[in-house]
Amino acid sequence: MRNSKPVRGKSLRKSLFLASGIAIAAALAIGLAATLYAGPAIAHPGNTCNPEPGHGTPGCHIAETTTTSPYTPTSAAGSSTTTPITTQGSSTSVVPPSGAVTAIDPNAVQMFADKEHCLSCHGDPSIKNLMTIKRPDGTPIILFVDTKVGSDSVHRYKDCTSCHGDEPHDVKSPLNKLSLSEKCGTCHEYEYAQWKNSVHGKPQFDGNSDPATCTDCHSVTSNPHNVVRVLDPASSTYPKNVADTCAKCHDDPKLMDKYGIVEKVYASYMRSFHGKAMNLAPGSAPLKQLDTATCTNCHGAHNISSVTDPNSPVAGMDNLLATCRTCHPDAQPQFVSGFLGHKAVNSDFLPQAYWGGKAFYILSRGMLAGGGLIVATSISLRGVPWVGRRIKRRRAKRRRKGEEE
Amino acid sequence: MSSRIVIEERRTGVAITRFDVQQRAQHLLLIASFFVLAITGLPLKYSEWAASAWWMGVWHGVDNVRAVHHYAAWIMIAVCAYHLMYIMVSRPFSTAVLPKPQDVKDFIQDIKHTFHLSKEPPKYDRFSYRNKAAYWLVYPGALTVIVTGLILLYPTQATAHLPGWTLPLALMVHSDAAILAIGWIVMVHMYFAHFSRHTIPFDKSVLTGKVPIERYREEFPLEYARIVASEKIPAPSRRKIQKPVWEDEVEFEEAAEED
Repeated sequence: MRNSKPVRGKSLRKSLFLASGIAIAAALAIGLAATLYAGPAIAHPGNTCNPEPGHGTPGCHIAETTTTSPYTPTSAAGSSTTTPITTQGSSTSVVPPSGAVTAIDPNAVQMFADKEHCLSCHGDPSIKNLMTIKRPDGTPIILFVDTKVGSDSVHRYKDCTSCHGDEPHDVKSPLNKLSLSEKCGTCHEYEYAQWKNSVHGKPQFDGNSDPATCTDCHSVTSNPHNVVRVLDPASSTYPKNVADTCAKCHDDPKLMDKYGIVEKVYASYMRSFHGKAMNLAPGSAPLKQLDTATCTNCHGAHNISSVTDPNSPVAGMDNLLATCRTCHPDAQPQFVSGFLGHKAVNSDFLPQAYWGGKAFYILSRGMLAGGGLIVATSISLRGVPWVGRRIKRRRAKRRRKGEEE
Repeated sequence: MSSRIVIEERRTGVAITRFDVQQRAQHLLLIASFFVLAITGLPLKYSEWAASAWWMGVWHGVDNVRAVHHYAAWIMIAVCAYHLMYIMVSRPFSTAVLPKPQDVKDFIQDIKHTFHLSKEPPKYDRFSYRNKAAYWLVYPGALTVIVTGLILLYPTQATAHLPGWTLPLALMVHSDAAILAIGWIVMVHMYFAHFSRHTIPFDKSVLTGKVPIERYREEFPLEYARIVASEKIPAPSRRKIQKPVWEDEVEFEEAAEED
């Protein structure tokens, strides 16, 4: 009877089962393939450009710069502007990283346009400790120019005197943040004009040098000799690095206390989806994978203004909506009202989300704890199945042996 | 019970087909999509972990991970929709999984048995109260993650119809519900499905759909009795069905204790 029973529809069932397995594999394979082929395009279909230059939408610069890899000398030369600009701007307080350079590397020196042979003296590390020349405030001016630091500087083909004056020893070097930015502004006029009226620029004219000047953002070490091209992945202004650059000051509790800025902007940005997407992109990510918003996309860059300024792109729902729409074109006012910005939900701000989230958290974790409790109770009362089985088998064996004897 | 249950001969013994190919395929697709969703969703929630950054690097960036998460989500939605369709059209329409008063009694009996207050374990029909709970918990769980997931996938379209606070709420609920689901599956479902004394270490019926008849008799005695009574198979003689090793040993040990 049993022999006659079995295989009605067995082959059909088997083939159906096989087909379902193939379907799973195919679905996963297609998904993976499609992802690897067109992944980034899925993430942000609607990233549009802010037409205003300097707004800092990273997508905008793709058309301008054909390459995002560390640039070649030709592209650097091609991008140079007509008016004089700096390689050497011995300025504020930058001490080049000590060590490493024991003699002038002739190859490194040749990377700089050095018509006046400034580096024959200033590139010599032995003058590092020569501190006889001082600023008005008494701090020494470091005369040594570390050519290693400047070797990928965007301005390395500019002659020293472009910034330091035609008569180099008649010291007209930029000596504070304001004069430095004025010097940069002789070429970068538009950016300088914007910065002058920004929340970073205005206080400089009142003698406050706390806010950022050009090199604070454009150089990792605030070293004017080390200004790297904006979209160089190593640059402090590369989209992936912008948040860290802003955090140099905006995550400094002392400095923020001084200006009464209480929000932990860096931490809250990294908690947000924008921050996570930026943070989790690989270090070598190309620009098109970094199309999520960073600080400058919402707050502006050279023209950055205080959030209390009614003209700030993030001040008030109307401005905020317009700013959101630069990347989310079909955003509605409710989309903005649900945007956390740098805040977290609490009993005053979006209370529905706060209490709802809290309630669900308690419910879900309570259920999970209950599940764990059930399993723990079951294990403790019934024993771990395989251990119990082994123990009983051993006891039985022993018992049998005893009987045999 | 129904024509679905077929007794088949296997080399080692007799087995009852408990899950048909439809159910197995749905379950496997659910497993596959759930697994992919978990491994692509967790690093987003715990993005500050070093392991998350490493995992994102493996996938060449967060965008790929998100895209795969969305694909797997659509597969899971499709499986859920297919399952609803499947239970609507399959005949005979099965009511076996609906909760019944007997489940409460079974539950109480099982508690008693677990706490050694009763020697008699509960006798289950086709589905134990645990099977039913596992099945019905998936409905609110899946509904929660799917709805919140769609809100997060289409935030601008969603807020055209919903108030803005649904966005941060959806994010919190989505991730908490996911943690609950993952934790529940890993702890509770794995324990009861695979680590019970019948099935340890792995219940092959998830793949084959077949349950050895001696285990069936022990786990689902009521349904087993009905299958046997309904003649689909002749009652197998006890001699031919090997007793589980476990039972032998228990009896043996009990006998030893009595000595």
